[in-house]
Formats: sequence, C-alpha cells, structure tokens
Amino acid sequence: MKQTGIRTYEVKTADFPIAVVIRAKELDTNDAFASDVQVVKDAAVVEKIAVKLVDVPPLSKRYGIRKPSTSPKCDLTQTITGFFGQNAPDNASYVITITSDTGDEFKTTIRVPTVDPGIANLTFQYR
Amino acid sequence: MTRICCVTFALLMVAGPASAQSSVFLQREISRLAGAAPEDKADLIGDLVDNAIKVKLASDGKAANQDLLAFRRADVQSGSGSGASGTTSAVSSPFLPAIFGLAFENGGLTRTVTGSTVTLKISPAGLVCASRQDAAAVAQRDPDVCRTNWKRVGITAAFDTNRGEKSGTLENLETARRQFAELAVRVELLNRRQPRSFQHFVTKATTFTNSLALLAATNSVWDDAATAALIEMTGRGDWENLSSQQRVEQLTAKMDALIADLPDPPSSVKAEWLASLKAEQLADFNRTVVTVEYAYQQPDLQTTDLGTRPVIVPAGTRPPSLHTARVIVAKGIGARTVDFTFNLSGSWFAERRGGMTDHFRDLRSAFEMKFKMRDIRDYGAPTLSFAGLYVLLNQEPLGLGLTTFGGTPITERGHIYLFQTKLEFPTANNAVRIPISISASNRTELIKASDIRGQVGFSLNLDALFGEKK
Repeated sequence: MKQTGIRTYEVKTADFPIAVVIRAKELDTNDAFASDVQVVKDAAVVEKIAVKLVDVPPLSKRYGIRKPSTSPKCDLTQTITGFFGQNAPDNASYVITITSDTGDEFKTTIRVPTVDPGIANLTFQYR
Repeated sequence: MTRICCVTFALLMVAGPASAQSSVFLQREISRLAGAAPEDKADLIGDLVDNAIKVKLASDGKAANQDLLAFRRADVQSGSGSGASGTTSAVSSPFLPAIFGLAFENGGLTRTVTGSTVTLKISPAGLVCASRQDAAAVAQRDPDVCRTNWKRVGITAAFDTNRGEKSGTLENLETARRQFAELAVRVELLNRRQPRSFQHFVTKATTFTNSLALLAATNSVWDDAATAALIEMTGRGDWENLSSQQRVEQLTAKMDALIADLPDPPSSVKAEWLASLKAEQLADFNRTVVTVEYAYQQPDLQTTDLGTRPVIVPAGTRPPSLHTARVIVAKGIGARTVDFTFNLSGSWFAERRGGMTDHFRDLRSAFEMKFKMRDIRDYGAPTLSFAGLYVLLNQEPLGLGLTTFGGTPITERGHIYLFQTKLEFPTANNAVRIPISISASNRTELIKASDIRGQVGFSLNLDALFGEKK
C-alpha cells in the first residue's frame, strides 16, 4: 500500500484485509462511525462492503476492510465521521491508523470541526 | 471555544441550501490551515475538503427536519375537549401549540345543547422565548432554544359564543355577561416525544455516514480539483509572506468558489439520507407523552329557578362551577404513521347543592387511533382518526337533581357511549387545520336518546407561521 493523495492510498490484492483503528484523543468517548465501503468502478458504485466496528477499550474502535469481489481497477471509498460534541477541547481528535496486511501503515487525523461531525473520506485505489 | 461547534451548527440549521457563504461553516478548518506548519498542510487540506462535502447534505437534512418539526405534526390540539359545547375532539391530544393557537368549533359531542366554542391556547414560556429568541426554533420545539421547564406548561381559555343570545332551547338560561367558559392549565409530565436537535438525528442516523460516503464517492472529481486548488494556493511562494488574516480571507474566498461548484447530491443519495432521517424522526414523534390538565369551567347564569322541591339553582344565580382533572397518554408505533391517545378525566362540582348526591359529576375515558396520511405538499399531512368515548354521569343530569329537560324525563344515571370519526385537513402549510367529524352516541348528557351529529371547525396554529422562517 502506498499513499498517492492526502487521504488516498493505492492498494493491491496482497494489502487486504486492510485494518483500520480509530483512536479518540482528548475525548471522553469514541463517537466515530464508519460507512460501508463504496466500490466505484467506471464512475458508478458497483459494490458495498459493510464494516463492523469493534470497540477496543478504552477509546479505540477497529475494523477490517476485506478485498472487494470487484476486480481492479476500482476505487474503494469510505467515510469516517467523528463526533466531538459541545465540550470537546480544541486539541481533541480522532487518529485513524490504516494498516495493510503487508504491514504498511498510514495515519490521518479528524480534528474538531466547525460543524460536527468531523469527516474523513478515505479512498483506496485498488490496482 | 468549545461551544463554537454547537453555535455554528445552530447557524447552519437556519441556513438554506449551501450558498456562497457556506465557508462560514468551515471557519475552524480554514483558520487551522491558514496557520499550519508546512508539514501539517496536506492533512489539514484533506480535513477542509472532506468537511466541505457534508455542508450540502446537512443543509438538505436540516430543511427536511424543520419541515417535519413545523408542518407534519398531528399531536397538537388547538381546539376544546370533549365536554365543550362546540368541539371536534372526543379525545384531547397531548400537546398544545408551542407558542399560540386559536380554534373555532361548532357542534358538541356529549352536550345536549350544542353551540360554538372559541378556544385560545398559549404557551407562556413559548411566547416569551419567541419574543427574545429565534421564533422559528421555538415554534419547532427545538430543544436547544427556550431552555426552561416552563415550556411544559400551557394555558387554555375557552369562550362559548352562544352565550349572549337566547334560543328556544336555552329558555331557562340568561344572557351571560361573559362568554368565558373554561380556563385550563396543562403540564407535560413526561415528554419523550420532545423533538431532538438535528444533531441528534445526525448522530443516530448511521445512514448519514453512508450517504456521505456515497456523496464522496460520486464527487471524487470535485474532491481532486478542490484538493489540487488548495495545494496550489498554499504552496505558492508568497503564501508564507501573507499574514494569518490574509490567508484566512483567501482561503474563505477560495472555499466559497469551490463549494459553489460542488455538485448537488445525487437524488438517490439524498433520498436515502432523507428517508433515514424521516424514519428516525417519525419514530421519535411516536414516543410516549403523558400530560395532565386541570380545567375550571363556569356555566351560564340561570334566569329561572332550576329544579323544584327543592330548587337546585335559584333564579339569578349560577350553577356550580366544575373542576376537571385529566390525564392524557399518547404513544405511537415505531416509525409508523399511527398514533394512539388515551384520556381519563373526572369532574367535580365546586360546591354541593340541594339534590346533589355528592360533588363528583362524571368520569370520562376515551381512546383514539389517529392515522397520519400522506403529506400534501405545501399543505401538511391530513389525519384520519377513530375515537371512542365513555362517560359515566354520576348524577342526574349534570348532578343538579333535575328529572326532566325540555319535557323529556331523565330517569337514569348516565352511561354515554360515543364513537367519532374525524378527518382533519391541513391548509397553509399546516397553519390552519379544518377538522370535520361525525359522532354517534347512545344519548347525550341530558336526554336519553341516541344521536348522530356532525362537528366542524378550524384551528389556527401559529407555530407553523413562526416556523416558516427557513
């Protein structure tokens, strides 16, 4: 897996399953959600991959993204929403760690937004 | 600073569709990027672009949310209760208008002599809040405004418009100086139907996240273009020489331009998100409500003696006033458009006079099943309801010891069984509702003879007018 854009990663078959961990920092609870993974091919959503978030105490959640049944080339898009509520400090955040099965690791951060929730759109270019 | 999020979201809530000013909802992200160290820029650009996408979806959702809150409710009653001389409701609904309501109804249900009633309903706290805060939000019962328990209290005043004129059926009633008939105070004891903030629905609606993902997936071209534009802007040679304020201004202008080019969500994405939102809200609108009400009712003056051997109400005096206590419980089923309401009430005379066995006048129990029908655009949602009412008249009749009325003998303590079907049409975006009902009963309060009646009225719920601001 390699990073090709700000939140865009190029992945190959060997990178699946991709492990994602969302860790809440400076927050009392982890109120992050992850959408189904939308598999986009030729500008159309052709497959959806549901993910199941598992709590990892004290403030993390993890899930895996399996290999799509759609063959390359296709893009896997996923949105992660992180809720901060009214009392979150300015330095609160959700740190998203993405690890491929081959061991590559990347991080991105959802910071306190102007309008709750904070959003991170992840794109995995399956090549 | 920690409340900025909440405050700005509230601003978003009253905003229309994403406009050229949409970047105001990205101020924090813009400021952060403007002051970012070079190594943090990329991640902060991602933050800014990703958060921009949600503005459009949230705006659509909020508009739908407001619509439901203001115009699609069927559990707010502006008219009178079942005992009034003019009423279209065998069953009282659990809520009064959030600010102010007015109703005119003609035709009684259990009264022998029917008439017309004008009913005013106000929420004192709602009125005060509406004058000081966002009236639209108060009208929509937004929990984030008017934060006082006093908004659980409502006041009703009813006026019998037939008083002041005589008819043949009212030969022993004098023209009353006042048309005042009833004053009632209502308190919401339990209100789990309290509309939640839009934030609640975003939190609850996991579809929001899925819809965002779909939106992001279908907006990848915009996303790439926006990202490239911001990388180019913040990577320019002169960027580092700009003041923080200048950077914020340039980023704001750029985001306004970029958001203006952000395509509308595909109809399927929008429909899925709005359907999810509506289901959440309908389910919330069907939660339990328990309301209690106390009413003081004042009858007409007598011109002639009422009752003989003994005289129950001497000429020139007023029959005893009534105290009524009522419990209203409402509960719907999940996200279905059916609502069930149960009423239980008892009435007591304010004083015991000759011929009365005791103070207790009557016991009323009523049940209603109300179907909220398909919305009519710009009109509201019509409702169809079926209601049953049982009245135990403890005394004969009205507890005044009379044995005849209009020559008809009253010979038994009353059991009134009444069935009502009501169709309520909304107009003017639900601000005006026109209830039309038909009732059938085995008897009325004074006469033991079956009766079929029609009732009609109109109610003006000013909440919808206040709520029209979007």
